[in-house]
Amino acid sequence: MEFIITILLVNNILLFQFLGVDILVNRKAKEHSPSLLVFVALLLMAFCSVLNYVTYFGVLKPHSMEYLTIFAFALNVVLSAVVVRFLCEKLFGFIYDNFSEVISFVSYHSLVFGIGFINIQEATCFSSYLGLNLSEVLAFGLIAWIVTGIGKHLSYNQFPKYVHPLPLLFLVLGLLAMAFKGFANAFY
Amino acid sequence: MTKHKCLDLVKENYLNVYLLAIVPILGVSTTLLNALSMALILSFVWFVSTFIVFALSKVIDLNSRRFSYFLVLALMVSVVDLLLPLVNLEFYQSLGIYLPLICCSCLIFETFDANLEKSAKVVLDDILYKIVTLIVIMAFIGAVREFFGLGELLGYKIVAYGIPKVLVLQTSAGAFFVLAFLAFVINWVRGEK
Repeated sequence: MEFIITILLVNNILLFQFLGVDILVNRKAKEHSPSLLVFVALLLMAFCSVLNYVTYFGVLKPHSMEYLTIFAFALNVVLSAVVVRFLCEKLFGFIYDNFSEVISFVSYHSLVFGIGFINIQEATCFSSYLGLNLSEVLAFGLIAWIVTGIGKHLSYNQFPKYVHPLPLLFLVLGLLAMAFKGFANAFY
Repeated sequence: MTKHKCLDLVKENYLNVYLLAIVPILGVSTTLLNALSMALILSFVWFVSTFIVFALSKVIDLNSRRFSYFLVLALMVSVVDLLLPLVNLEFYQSLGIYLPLICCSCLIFETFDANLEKSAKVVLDDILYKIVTLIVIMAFIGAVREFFGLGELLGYKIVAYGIPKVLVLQTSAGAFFVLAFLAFVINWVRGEK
């Protein structure tokens, strides 16, 4: 419980390490619901975690080739995107078009690559690596849902002309970052 | 840079895209020196990889071009990651986890897309102009966060003792606030909603 609260609230990957902010800032993100983005990110992260773990601990580390980690992990993200796209085509053929677009969109942003890269140094076993990665994608999802909800409420209010859309989004993210900093005292 | 281009710098639509590019590397912009270091590394990777992509443009499949860009960038960042500690270890350590994130920079992807059909001279002109813009924006963010957050600039104490510092600017929330201000100024100058 403490582990999940820490990842979701205290060390939120989006608010404190900026991973995934580029997805929220991108105008194309408004075309997709945050739930769909998070679902696709979870799928990609799961496949990518398997590939990253096998690549890093099976090939790169035993042969002292850690200098290839960045390229190998980028290749893993691309491979995961291709595999997930193929599986979605086979399993959910009727929503394939929308899925394909979201898969490409999520995969070349910093979220999946960044989380996979950062956590590999701290991985003690595969389950901890997978758990950490998926929890951090959920942490991104939490903020994506909050920001979308706040955005809908704000759209009913009148704001100065030049505050829309990015300044307001960054302001909301800044205030959320300050508020979430308060959870650091939750366990004391 | 011509007067026309200087005006373009704030008016054109892709300045908002610049914000998109700098978001993942905001973590290192706590001081002017760090921000400039990151901007220089990003510019180098951007410059070299643009010409690699330009050379490979006939081979790259248009439908999966973003993945190709991603791999080219990852290769370039790997090379920089390998060579930078040999050049300056302290500089390398200050960039931390944010150096690998350069390969996810959407700004660079957008430039690759825009330059696919152009001649080498036009690409060179375009890329140099965009790199200067990026360095100016990163320097602004780093300078504001260091000056108002620490009362310093490039490590030299500027603000007199007793004047309160806005310490929140040194945190991640501060980075968002500075970006909000920057985006507001860009919108205001462009004069559009």
